[in-house]
Amino acid sequence: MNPSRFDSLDAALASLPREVRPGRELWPDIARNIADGVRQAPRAAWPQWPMALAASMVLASLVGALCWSVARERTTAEILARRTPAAAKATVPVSLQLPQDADYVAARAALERTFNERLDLLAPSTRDRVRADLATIRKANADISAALAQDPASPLLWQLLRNTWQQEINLYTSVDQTTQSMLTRSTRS
Amino acid sequence: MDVEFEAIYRSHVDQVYGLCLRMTGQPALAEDCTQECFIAAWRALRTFEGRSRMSTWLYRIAVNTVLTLRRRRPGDALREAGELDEAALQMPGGAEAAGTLDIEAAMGRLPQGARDVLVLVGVYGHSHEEAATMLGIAAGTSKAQLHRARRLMAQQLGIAMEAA
Repeated sequence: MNPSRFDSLDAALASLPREVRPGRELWPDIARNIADGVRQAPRAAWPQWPMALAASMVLASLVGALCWSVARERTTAEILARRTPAAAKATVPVSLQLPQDADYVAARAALERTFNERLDLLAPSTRDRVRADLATIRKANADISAALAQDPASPLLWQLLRNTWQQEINLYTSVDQTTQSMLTRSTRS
Repeated sequence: MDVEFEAIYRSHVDQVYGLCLRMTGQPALAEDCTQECFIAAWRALRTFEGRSRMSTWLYRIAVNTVLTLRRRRPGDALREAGELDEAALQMPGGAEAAGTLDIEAAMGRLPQGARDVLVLVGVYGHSHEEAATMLGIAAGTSKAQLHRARRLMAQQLGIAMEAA
């Protein structure tokens, strides 16, 4: 084979235009596909949705259960209140903020401490139910956090995570308020 | 939708399509590959570290897209040896010279492996190492395929090359 022919061939190949215009506009399909992908991304969170939803539904029924249990547990509460007078003063106002916020972390810790102190004021069956609800919320939080590790930009997952924080605070507050009224009544009597 | 990504698309689509067209030999498939390339690039954009030029990064994705499409659609119109439509080569600047079209047509008739290497090394100026990495072959294989491609091209274009 004649090397000079290869040289001219190489030169001809190298001189070919690298750019060739497509016969049609491709961007609209690309943009639509990308947009669909962005919208579909939160679907990865679907397995966690039932858990989060279950937690919120459980909480909705919890408030009613706690109110109902107050009357039954007044005697027990009065006894325990006399044993733990400091607990009656431990109500902590909480405004939900991101967990990284120092004030939020401190307030949440105080509320959780009060929650744990007063949990024994509740009847065993109610107490077990509260604990189960708390476990459900924390499981949902862990599941959503794991999903967020995979898709940290998902606004839907962040919203679900914030929901679990709020649900946990709601649970603590419900127990706090319920037992507070029990303790107040026992103090008056 | 990022305006910046559309700007990236506008800047590089003709290069990516040109590469895909020469590797597939079919305008419709080249369009599919180009679209999938940019969709894949969008998904992988955060992994682009800027160590290579954007065009080089997109070429790699485009080649990978073509290879993936070949595996996914083996019976489709990805031709083992074909001929590019002259109408598909709407090159900017009125470059549809007779010699250019002869070369493109001859390139389109090459066996797939030889054509891939000729396109990447001969037309797009990649080294054998780069082409081998993109194609998943050994550098020695790339050199052998280029030699084969040149020989076949020279046979096809002998008269035209001498006349050119």
